Amino acid sequence: METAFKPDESFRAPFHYGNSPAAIRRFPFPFDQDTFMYSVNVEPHLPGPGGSCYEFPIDIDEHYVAECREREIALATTTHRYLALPHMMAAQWDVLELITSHLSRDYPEHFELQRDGNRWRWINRPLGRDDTFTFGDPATLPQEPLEYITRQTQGDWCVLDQRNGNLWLDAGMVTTQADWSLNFDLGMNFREWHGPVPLAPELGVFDRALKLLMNLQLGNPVRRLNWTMTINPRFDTSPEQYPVWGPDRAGVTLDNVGDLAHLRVELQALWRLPRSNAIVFSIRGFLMSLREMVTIPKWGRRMHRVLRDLHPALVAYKGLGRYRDTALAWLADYDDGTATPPGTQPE
Amino acid sequence: MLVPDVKSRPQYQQLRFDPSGRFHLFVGQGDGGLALLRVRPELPESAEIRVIYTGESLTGCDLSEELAGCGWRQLKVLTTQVAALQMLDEVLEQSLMGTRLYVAGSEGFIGAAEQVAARYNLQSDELQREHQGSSARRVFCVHCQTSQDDVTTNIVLCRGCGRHLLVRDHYSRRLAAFMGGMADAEVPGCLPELREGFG
Amino acid sequence: MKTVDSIEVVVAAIEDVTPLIKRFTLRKISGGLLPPFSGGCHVTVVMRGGERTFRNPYSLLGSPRNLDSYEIAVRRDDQGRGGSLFMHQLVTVGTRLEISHPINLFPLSKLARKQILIAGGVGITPVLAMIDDLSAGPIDWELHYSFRGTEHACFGTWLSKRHGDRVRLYDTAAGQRIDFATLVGQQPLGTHLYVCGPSQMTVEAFESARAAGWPESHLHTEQFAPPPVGVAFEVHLAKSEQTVQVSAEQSLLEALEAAGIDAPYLCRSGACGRCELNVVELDGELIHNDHWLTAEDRISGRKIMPCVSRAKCKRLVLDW
Repeated sequence: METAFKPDESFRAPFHYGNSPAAIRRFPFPFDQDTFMYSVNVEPHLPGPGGSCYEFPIDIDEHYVAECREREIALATTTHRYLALPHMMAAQWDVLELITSHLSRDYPEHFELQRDGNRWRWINRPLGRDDTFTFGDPATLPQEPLEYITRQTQGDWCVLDQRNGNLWLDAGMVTTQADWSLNFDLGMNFREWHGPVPLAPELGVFDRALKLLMNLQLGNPVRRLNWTMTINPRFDTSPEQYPVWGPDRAGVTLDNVGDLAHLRVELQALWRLPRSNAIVFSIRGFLMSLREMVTIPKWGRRMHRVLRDLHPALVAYKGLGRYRDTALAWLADYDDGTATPPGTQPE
Repeated sequence: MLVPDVKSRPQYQQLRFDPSGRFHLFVGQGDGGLALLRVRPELPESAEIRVIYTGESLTGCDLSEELAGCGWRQLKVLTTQVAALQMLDEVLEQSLMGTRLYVAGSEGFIGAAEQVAARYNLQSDELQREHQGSSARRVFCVHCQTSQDDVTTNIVLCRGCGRHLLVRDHYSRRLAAFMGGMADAEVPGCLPELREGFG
Repeated sequence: MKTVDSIEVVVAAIEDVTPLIKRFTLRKISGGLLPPFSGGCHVTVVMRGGERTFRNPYSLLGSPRNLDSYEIAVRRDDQGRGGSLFMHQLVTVGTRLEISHPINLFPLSKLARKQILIAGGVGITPVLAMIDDLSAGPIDWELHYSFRGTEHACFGTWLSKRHGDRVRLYDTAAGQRIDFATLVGQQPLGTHLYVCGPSQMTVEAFESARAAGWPESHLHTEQFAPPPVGVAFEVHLAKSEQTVQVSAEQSLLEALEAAGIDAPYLCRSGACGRCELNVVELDGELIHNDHWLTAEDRISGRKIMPCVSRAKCKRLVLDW
């Protein structure tokens, strides 16, 4: 698919963002039925239909250039967004290889990777980059390998070391997160960094997910979807920046909720890394306003029902309390009570 | 409207002599001395035991004299927490595999001792922690990255950036601190009720 | 969930390393580089031999920096179930094989302050690639390698030349033995111990370490033990409504695979937990041979690891 990038988009005030009709149709809508509860919703990260956001393991869409610029802004104006503990260097190179080899294979019109032994040349046309470096030698790159390559991707990247029967969050590039802090969580194990999540521990979700991930194999990545809601098309909803985005929630009215409230979906994919035996966890965020969502009638109806019946602990955890009723009042006009066919697809 | 009832606080236990170890290093601070006095009678005479203690604490509970009176072969009493942690570092540097570390004291002290132990790759099966004394917390402000010690309320004014922080039950061993985030970001001045202590 | 995505390889070279051990060099049939891997990895080699298909795990012993080929070493076991004989007798240069992607169930701790590797006999194989990783890094390490007779010293002599004093060789035929008690008694905090060799060696090394106060978190081993034999029984799969006969020589997992069932697995040694299945019904007892299930799991009688465990019963019903 030929992607027309929208380099003028802005994910901070003054906001400027929207999805084309094609981008709406390829949005990873997360609800396959009219209710939501946590489950181990992990599936193989296999190629999906052409044009869908699952077509390739690492998706590039019309927001690519703007999201890379948003990352540059976040890195320039805030601190501790990229962090890596010293023992993660082999994993950093693994991630660089994973990203460059997938992007160059799947989007040859945009990316090119030339490998001559350890001498690598990486060409990124949309961002206007052409870099030659020695694979394995950090001194030949302008930043550490993980920082270097994730500056050229959409979404966040966490690298997990595996030891002592657990996974440890020991490196990451996190600038587009839904209210969790890399700086605070760095070095935590799987259970510790999920500490804030309600209900899921009681459902045994984390025990099963950890078991599954510990056995994740090379060449067999997995994925899952996660979701929350965000006011404004804002990617940097970090705890650090809460003083900036927190007030947004108090300004939602019935008149503006359709445009301000966004469903934020995270396509989370996990790969085993070969040289380090670590796991990389990519968290790719997609944003769609409620007004865009109701252009797909099935999704509008379902969103209304999911939000209406959401468990109170999840309403609190996802920070929806202040504006959920307003969003429900607005969505009610798009829910005529007819049945929604199962599955996440638009029709 | 930050979520107040986050659950990732450390789980502490009562110190118990671990006979699978070969060398035993007890480190106590303030009220943590109570734990050392309590385990003292359980310790086999033949065991290789060292003790580091500091009486410096928020509660003013200094058990240096009581400890000195119960016949440890190797007891070091230091006047400050910093000095005790420094000594811990030096002892671990010289220690061999087979060592068990036992830490008792305030949450802040335990956290700082764990940071030292992490440098020597001590795992959970080599380390016991017992919380004694003040439940005051070290709080890390996510906005300005300032940590402050001895926080005893759910809302605290950040020394670094002047914001009112809500203390979350989310703990980082790396920072040895609980997370603090702005309490009234959504509606300025609209603060949750102030509570003393952490349940 | 599909569990294994395999790689097609061709045997490019076979070499006698010792009288009992052959080294096989494998290249990708389609040409090009094989996936990178880390020290301690193994691949599962699928051997389709007439009526029976073997799936045996073998450690990758080549350098993780050379991805033109993989190397595995296979020790001939005349009393074994037939996998090693298949490799020794039926596989020639040019034979095509199917292997899994590399899997690491024996990884090095990246945070260790010192690494001690202990290998016995063919147990040296994963250690070779581990040493390749270690010699490129900052962590202090040493290897203690025990073998029987100079004709079996090949890997050891080669390592000794490359790494000097870090490598200590023990020829048991000459009465040389690793003094485990002394070895583990004087190691700095943060040392990790890795043992790969006969089970007796692992037991001895670990017992010495425990006696010296080492905690379990610093002790690592990997053993590829073949699944124990037993008596034949019948398995019924409740969800897919299939019935499968498990012969005395076959593991439960092998019987399921032979019936065309895509059951999950990874280590095939009862260690990793991947193949765990739920038991619905049983008219006898479960024979657990794994290292994965907890004591509670065993008492419950609701779980089984089909790669090594079996049942003494007429009919076992599984939730599959």
